[in-house]
Order: sequence, then structure tokens, then C-alpha cells
Amino acid sequence: MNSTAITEIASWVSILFLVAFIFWSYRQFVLESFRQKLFALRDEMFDYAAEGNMDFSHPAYVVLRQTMNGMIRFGHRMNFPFALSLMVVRQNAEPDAGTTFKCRLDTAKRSLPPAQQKAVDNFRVRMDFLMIEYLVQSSPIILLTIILPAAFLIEGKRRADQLVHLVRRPLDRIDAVAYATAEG
Amino acid sequence: MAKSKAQLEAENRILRQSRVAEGIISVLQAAIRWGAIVCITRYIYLTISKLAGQQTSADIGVGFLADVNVSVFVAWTLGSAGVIYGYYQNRLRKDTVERLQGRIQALELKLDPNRSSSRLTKRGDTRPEDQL
Repeated sequence: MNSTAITEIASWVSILFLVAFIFWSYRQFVLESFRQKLFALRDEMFDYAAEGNMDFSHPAYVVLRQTMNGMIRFGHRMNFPFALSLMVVRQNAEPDAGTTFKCRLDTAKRSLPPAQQKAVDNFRVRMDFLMIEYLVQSSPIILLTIILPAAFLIEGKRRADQLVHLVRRPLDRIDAVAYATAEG
Repeated sequence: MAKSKAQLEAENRILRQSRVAEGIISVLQAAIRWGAIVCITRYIYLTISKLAGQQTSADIGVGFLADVNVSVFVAWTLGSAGVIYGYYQNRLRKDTVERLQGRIQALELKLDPNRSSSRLTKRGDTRPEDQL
């Protein structure tokens, strides 16, 4: 009996399962976890408005909620390579003066008192942080280099503000796509 | 919320650009995923073909079982049990989502009649028409 060949077959079958796990099961889990966290954040914002802090029909609330809905609905299409390619595609595009997501949200929240503006900013930073976390966790290439996600999870959560600020421009584009697609 | 013409045009532009990016990425991802599967399947085939003429399928099966020691058996059993456990936990969670989502929606609509939705299915899955 060729024992080496048998071991070889068993090893390849194991690798096959591992590949299927990384590309399908793991990715599905990360997606559902991302959606769950966004649902929780959306609920928190709903409660904040329900407590009388903000009107449900206020443009800032509507824009943020619609963006979260877009991220939840189309999260399966968003991943690390998508974010990179979006940056490349958009690099040569003409500037959308006054129509970027940031401009729209800034305009929408202008009529809010400072405390509520701060709350809106906080919800946006947390929403964007969840998106970054998802982009990092859902990439098998990055997954294979365990150190980066581990460091990200430990340090990233503590420094969410700075991290989101660093990647403000690409995030603004992802937010704009999520906001626009939610209506489709 | 009413949108200006410029805003609508900008949205239209960014949606078209994102679809281009998605198209390119989905092709590359499919190539990597299925390429890996094809590659591994080819190696399995090559290994089996090495045994061709030397042994029958029954020999290979018996040889495989004879080669399995206790630790390998335990590892495979634990792995399989984990997969089954994960599957049922996932199903249970989706059952709960399906059971509760209608109530949550109805209660929230009382406070916010214009409440917008993520438009996932009742079990929290991606809608078939939203798949690329």
C-alpha cells in the first residue's frame, strides 16, 4: 500500500476544505457579523432620535440611516480590492463639487445644535470604522497575514477617530456609493 | 429628501464607476477562487493517477482507513462536528431574525412612519436580485 500517496490525497482534500472555508464560509460569517454591527449602530441612532434628540425627518438622520442601509444591503459587494479599485477608478474622475458625501452630510447637519452635530459625527465615525474593520477582515490575503488584523483590532478600536481621519477620502467615496445604492 | 440635479448626476456617476470596479473585481475574485479549486483538484487527480494500475479503488479506500490513526480520526470528527454545530447555530439565529423582524419594524414604524429599510430578506440574507 502506498502510504505516502494516501497521505498526499488526504492533505489535498483538507486544503480543499480550507480554501472553501476561507473563500465562502468565513467571508459569509464576516459579512453577517458586519451587518449585525451596523444594525446595532442603526438601532442606537434610532433610539437617539426616539429620545427626542433629533427629528426622524432631519436630513442628517435620513442621510446617515440611508447610508447604513446601503452598507447593510450591499455589504456583500464591498471588499478590500473593491475599495482599492474604486480609488483608482475615481482618481481620474472630475471632482463632484458640493456633491460628495461629506459635503452632503455637512450641509445636512448644519441646522443641528453643536451637541447633536457631535453625535452625528460620532455615528459617522463608528459607521466608517465598521466599514474599515469589515474590509480588513473580509480579505483572505490580509487574513493570511494575521498580524495586521490582530494589531488592527487591538489598536484600531482605541484610535477609531484618527484611523477614520487618515482614510477620509476613500471612505467618503464608499459612503457615497452606499448612500446612492440604498435607493436602488 | 429632494436631491438637486448636480447631486443626482454625481450619484449616477459614482454608481457607474462602482459598477465598473465591481465588475473587474468579481472577475478577478472568481478566477482566484475557482483557480484554487481547479488547481487542488488537479493535484488530487495527479496523486490518484499515480496509483492507477497499482491499486483498485477498494485498495485505496482500505489503505486510507488503515492509515487513519486515532488523532486523525479525532481531528476529523471535531472538524465535522464544528461545521454541523455552526450550521445549526446559523439556522437558529436566522429563525430568530425572521421571528422578530416584523415586530421591530411595526413598532419602529409607529415612531417613524417614513422609516427606511436595508431591504434584506426576512431572514437577513442578501436578496437574490442584489447578488452580482
